Amino acid sequence: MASRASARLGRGGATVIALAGALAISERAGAQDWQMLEARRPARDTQPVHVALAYGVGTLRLEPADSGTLYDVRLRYDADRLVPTVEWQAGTRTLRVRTRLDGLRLPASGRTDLTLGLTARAPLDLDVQLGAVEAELDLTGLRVRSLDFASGASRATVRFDTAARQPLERLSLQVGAGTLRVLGLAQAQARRIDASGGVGEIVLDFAGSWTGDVEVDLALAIGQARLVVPPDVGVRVEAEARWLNRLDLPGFERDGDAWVSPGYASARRTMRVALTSVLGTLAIERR
Amino acid sequence: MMRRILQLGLAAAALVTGLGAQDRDLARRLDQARGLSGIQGLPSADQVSIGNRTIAAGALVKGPVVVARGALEVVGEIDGDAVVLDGDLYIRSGGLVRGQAVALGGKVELDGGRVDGEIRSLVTAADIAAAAAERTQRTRIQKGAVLAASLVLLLLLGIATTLIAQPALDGVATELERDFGRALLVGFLAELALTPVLGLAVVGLALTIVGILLIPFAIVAYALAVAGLVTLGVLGVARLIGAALGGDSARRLSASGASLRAVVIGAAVLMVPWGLMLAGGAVWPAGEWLLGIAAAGVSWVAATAGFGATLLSRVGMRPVRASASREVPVDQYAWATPTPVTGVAAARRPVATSGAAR
Repeated sequence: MASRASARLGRGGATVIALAGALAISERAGAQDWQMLEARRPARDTQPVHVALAYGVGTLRLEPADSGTLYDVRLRYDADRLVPTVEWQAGTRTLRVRTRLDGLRLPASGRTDLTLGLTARAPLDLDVQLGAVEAELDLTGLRVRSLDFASGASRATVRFDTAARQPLERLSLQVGAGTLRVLGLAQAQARRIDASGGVGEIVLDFAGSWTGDVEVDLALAIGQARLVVPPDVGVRVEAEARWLNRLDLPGFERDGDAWVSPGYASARRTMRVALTSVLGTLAIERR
Repeated sequence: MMRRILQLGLAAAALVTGLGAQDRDLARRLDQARGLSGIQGLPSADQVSIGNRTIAAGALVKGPVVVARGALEVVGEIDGDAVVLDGDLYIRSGGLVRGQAVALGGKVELDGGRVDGEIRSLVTAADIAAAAAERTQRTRIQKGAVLAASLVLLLLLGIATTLIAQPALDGVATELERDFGRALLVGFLAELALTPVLGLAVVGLALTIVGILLIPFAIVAYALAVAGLVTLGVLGVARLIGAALGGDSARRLSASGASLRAVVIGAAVLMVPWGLMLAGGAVWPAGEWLLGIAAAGVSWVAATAGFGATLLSRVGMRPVRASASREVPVDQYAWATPTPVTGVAAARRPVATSGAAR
């Protein structure tokens, strides 16, 4: 009798604790404190600026800032879940923008939005790391000297709508499970591109006026890459002959260990693609 | 006596407790400001200015300047950081902040001034919503003021027109009453022709070489004339509406008094759609634009028809046309029926009457 009573008491206590826990969690999950953080700094000179952006979840828009502004950060976030950092290190001329989850929290019901405006007057070295982000990086008009882009499960678009005022000396792209589209890549005047994909998709659209030859170093696990290249550019693809890879190269001819587009030898501009892949797919579109 | 002392003691304790809570809140906000801005040299809570503060033009103040629960307006110079807790920071023209400009729970507004360091602000969503609501309320008050001013202006113009040019007003109102649709059509066509006519006038003046100098005056005169015609037309519409709604009491007034009364009533009625827009917007903000479109439509119809009637009546100076007083044919001898021997009651001999008068 006593044991049954204690068992009932134990079940009741567990129920109370579980209910209390559920209430605490639901209260925590429901608690939101949406805030808007704005930080901007006037541009006083044209010295190079390094930007380190690490952004977990939400939407991102990177764009040219107003003239006279070095950077303009606008972040809408839930202060109950996210801890943002926006700091300017004058010595190294580095802008760090970071968001960090504050402990273990359920996803916010609202949307975190980050808009980052950058100066068009100074050369920029961009280091962008994204988690699960819907991103639009409009680099048109910016003087981007280098871009290191890494994303987990993001869907991102990088665009160069007009010819860059500064050649993109370094372009490194790493995509995990998401999608990355780079548009107007010829406008960026990048000579060498390093791109790697996990299970995601990479689209490199080389639209725009070409000013020189391009080398693309492509590493794919089981993802796919699509390169859009103008018809007048000669393309040479050097791929390891693994039968699990898939190459979609319409009209290309075998040249030793490589595949070349018709008229490659006489083309005024050329692109060389070095592919390392396990189960990946490479497709080249001509338009 | 003891009871009174006890009450005073409790009040003092409550005051001290309240002040202590305020100090703690201020200290917490200062900590947040340090975290937000990275400024380490912020003063303690007892050195913070509470309420609005202005750094006057020409003044040079050593920073950091910290203001809580109020706005900081910088017209002079702060040699260091400017921090506002739960308020806005304004850097006006000529104002200079040599360090950072930080607002925690408010905004930083660069209104012609300069900040050498970073501008940083942090506001909660509730603050943003409250600011948006305040802006909406302010906008509504401004719209209400514009509406009231428009009504007053229309009334003044109506009174002046009734006193000075009542025949013109009567002529426009008569034209509207006779055929509103025609007036609307003519007004619409005239609106379409406004720009081409002005263009022709300008070209004509330019061709005469000497007239080139008159072009600016001609444009202004043309605009004034059109505005005058439209205003007269709108007043005519107002008079028509007012006369229709005025009831029998207007009959006791003189012609001028009745006309004035009708204009006042009609002008007020013409403003009703705009008033509905404002009132409706307060209750149903999303529908404000819909009510605004409806109000604009009503006003456009009134202005266009009035404009057309003004043109048709030649600014109210055209005499009443024959068509309006077309004689109804009568049998000249119909009244003279054969008289029975027993005789009939005498009837009046009919006279020719106008269609409008019937």
